[in-house]
Amino acid sequence: MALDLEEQEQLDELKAWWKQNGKWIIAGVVAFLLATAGWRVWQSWTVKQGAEASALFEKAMQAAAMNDGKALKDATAQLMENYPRSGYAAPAAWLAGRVNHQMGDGKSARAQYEFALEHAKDEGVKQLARLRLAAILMDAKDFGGAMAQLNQEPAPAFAGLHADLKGDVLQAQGKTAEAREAYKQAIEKLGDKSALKPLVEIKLDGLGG
Amino acid sequence: MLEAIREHAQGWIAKIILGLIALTFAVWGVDWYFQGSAQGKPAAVVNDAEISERDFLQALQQQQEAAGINSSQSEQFKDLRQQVIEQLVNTQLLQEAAAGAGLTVTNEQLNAVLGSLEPFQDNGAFSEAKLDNWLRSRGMSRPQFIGMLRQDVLLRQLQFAVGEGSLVPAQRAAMLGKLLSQQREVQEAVFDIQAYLNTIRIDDAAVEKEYAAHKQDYATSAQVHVQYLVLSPDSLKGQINVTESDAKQFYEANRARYQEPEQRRASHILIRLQGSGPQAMEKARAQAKDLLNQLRAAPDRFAELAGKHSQDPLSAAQGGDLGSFTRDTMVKPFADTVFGMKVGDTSDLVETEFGLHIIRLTGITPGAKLGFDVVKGEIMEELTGQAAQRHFAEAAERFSNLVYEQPDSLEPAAKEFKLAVQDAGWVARKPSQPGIMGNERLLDALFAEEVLRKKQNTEAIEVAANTLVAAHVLEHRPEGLRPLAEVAAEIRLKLTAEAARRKAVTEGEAALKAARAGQAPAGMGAPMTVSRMKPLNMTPDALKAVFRASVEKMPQYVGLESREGYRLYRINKMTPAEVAGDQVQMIRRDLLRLAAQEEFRAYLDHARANAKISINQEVVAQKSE
Repeated sequence: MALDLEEQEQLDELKAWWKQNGKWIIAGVVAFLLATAGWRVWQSWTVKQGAEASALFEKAMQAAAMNDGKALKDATAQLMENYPRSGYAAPAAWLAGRVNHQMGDGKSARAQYEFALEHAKDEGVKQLARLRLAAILMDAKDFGGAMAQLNQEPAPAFAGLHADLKGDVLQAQGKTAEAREAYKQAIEKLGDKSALKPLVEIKLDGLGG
Repeated sequence: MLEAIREHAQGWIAKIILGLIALTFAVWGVDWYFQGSAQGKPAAVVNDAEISERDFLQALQQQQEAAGINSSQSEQFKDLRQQVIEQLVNTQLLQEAAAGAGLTVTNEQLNAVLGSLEPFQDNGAFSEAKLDNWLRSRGMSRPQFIGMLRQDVLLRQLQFAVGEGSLVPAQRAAMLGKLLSQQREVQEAVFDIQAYLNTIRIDDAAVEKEYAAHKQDYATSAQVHVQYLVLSPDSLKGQINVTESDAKQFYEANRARYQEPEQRRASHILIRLQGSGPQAMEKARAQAKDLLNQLRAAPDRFAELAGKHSQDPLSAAQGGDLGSFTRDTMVKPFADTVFGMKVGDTSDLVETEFGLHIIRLTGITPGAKLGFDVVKGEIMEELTGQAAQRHFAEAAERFSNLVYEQPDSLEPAAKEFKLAVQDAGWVARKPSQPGIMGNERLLDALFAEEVLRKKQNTEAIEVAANTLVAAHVLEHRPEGLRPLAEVAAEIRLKLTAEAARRKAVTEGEAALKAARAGQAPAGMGAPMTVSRMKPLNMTPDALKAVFRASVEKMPQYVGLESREGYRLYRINKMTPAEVAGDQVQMIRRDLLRLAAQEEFRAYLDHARANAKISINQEVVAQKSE
């Protein structure tokens, strides 16, 4: 009997405890289940997005190879609009931007290269995006804007390219002494394997060495 | 200069494509694909991925074959080993970069690529069977192949994604265009070493000093002064005496060889036998018999009957005529008959594997005879060769014995076989040297104790088929310094050239200084106009110096050391060139390609800089054997 009584007491305690805490536990379990499901959904959604973006990018590549301007524009616009967080957004923007640049539409090209910088997914792409945006700005004679990009410290692998372009912008601005310094730096950073190096040397010599 | 840019560009395209491996994809040859870790040490580790030794060796083998390198000991091969591991590491880096940049390849995309590959097409559609065959012939599994394909598509996407955004501002191209086509008019004076050589006197003390200071330059390996004898059929020819009567005899005995064969011309009528049953065969025989009878009755109807009845259509059209032929071109029964007939005769039925023939001989062209005078030289040559060969076979043993039994000199053997003792001069133990002295067995013998110290003959050594050499060491010079007396002339020459160069440079520099101070230098050549794109015969260094000079004030002088001594340039004027629009466009295109390559390389370098890479040189560097 005594045992029964003890059990009864325990049971009552448990009931009371459950009454107090049960809803939290249920809520916790539900939350966990929801989170797991959500994670799953999000993951499969990401994979699906990636796959769709990849397919679109292949289309853009084909269009570029076939010189099909309209298809290229369609595919890149879709990538930028619908898949801005994918790794294909920045390359798509470049592709569209480069075509616009070639066609003389500097304004669109500039917007697209800015988009590429904003949507760069990894550091390497980001570094290139900055460099290329500066080139676009130089072509638009926005030397201040170009220098603003180029004055940000580049990663070591991009330092040579960076300094070379900097030299060009400075020379275009008429700042010969500074341009010379930039070219000297470019020669130092480009390394002996670079095919650009002899050209930078010519530019430096053109400024009197 | 534009061409120079192009060359660079192409060099880089090639390199990047090599670096990207996957771009030259499997189906066309290069299939590098990491097949998961194999056992053993990895050749390299990139972050957490291993490149196995097996993958490395496989890639190496492919590259070796592609590069056509045979020797696995060469420097070239050592370099290749490093290049290949670099390329494999790059491929792995780019794969990881592609994944990091969020690039993906779906199975649908892979299927589409697979379906479009030419080797797997059958009547314009993808053929599963062809793919299976192809995989089997390469010993490759399907998942492995799909993996390769995935890598290829991914890296192609990456290269496009990274590379296509390059651009070149028009101003950059214009700037460079102006520099490349700017012209400068220059005059040149050369201070040539040659002109100073005679003015230089180098005394003995200077030579001795140089010798003492740079002894290592005058060290030599051990050398022997060698005399030798060569016994070969050729060396014995002089002693062979073939007379004209020998030749005549040979000519008579081998008349057939000097005879142009006789040719005969014949016609025939063919009745085929084979392929028909016994009955048809009887019928054919009867028909042939009948034709023969008709011919016997009216011999001049041969052509007519051949045209109508012969079952050899080619000759039938010619009235049976076969043209002229030699005996050996016809089957035996036919030839025997033809070469046993008289002109105008008609044969009986002749059976050959072709069927039954009735043959008429229509002409004989007798074989021409090559006169003795025509072939005498040839015969004597041949007889001499044969005799020399026989003589050599007999002499070889005696020669070997002689040089062995009288080891102190080659003379006895030379005398007996009327050979000249030849002098090879000083010979080092280098098997790579050309000629007889490169023979390893001979070199080994020359540097063996008895030969080297006791100055005995070597044994007779067969250095080539039918060529025996016995050698003798006259003098031995151990490794060490070449004596001053021997190298003095050489040293004097070197010092003279050095002093002359210094003098040329000093005078050149003095002339430059004087010119800059206003004193016109002597010996200036005619004015020439050069640009970076048209450098004429100026060296790159000179061109650089000339175009580096400031042009604010004219004339300008620059000078530099050159191969021939010193070159002094006077720059008279600068002409800024008008750069045509299409030329700027061309430069811009070149620059664009260059930019794309260099930017891709920077991207790769960036990935490399941020990766943990360890290359296991134990695996990669060639193990010494």
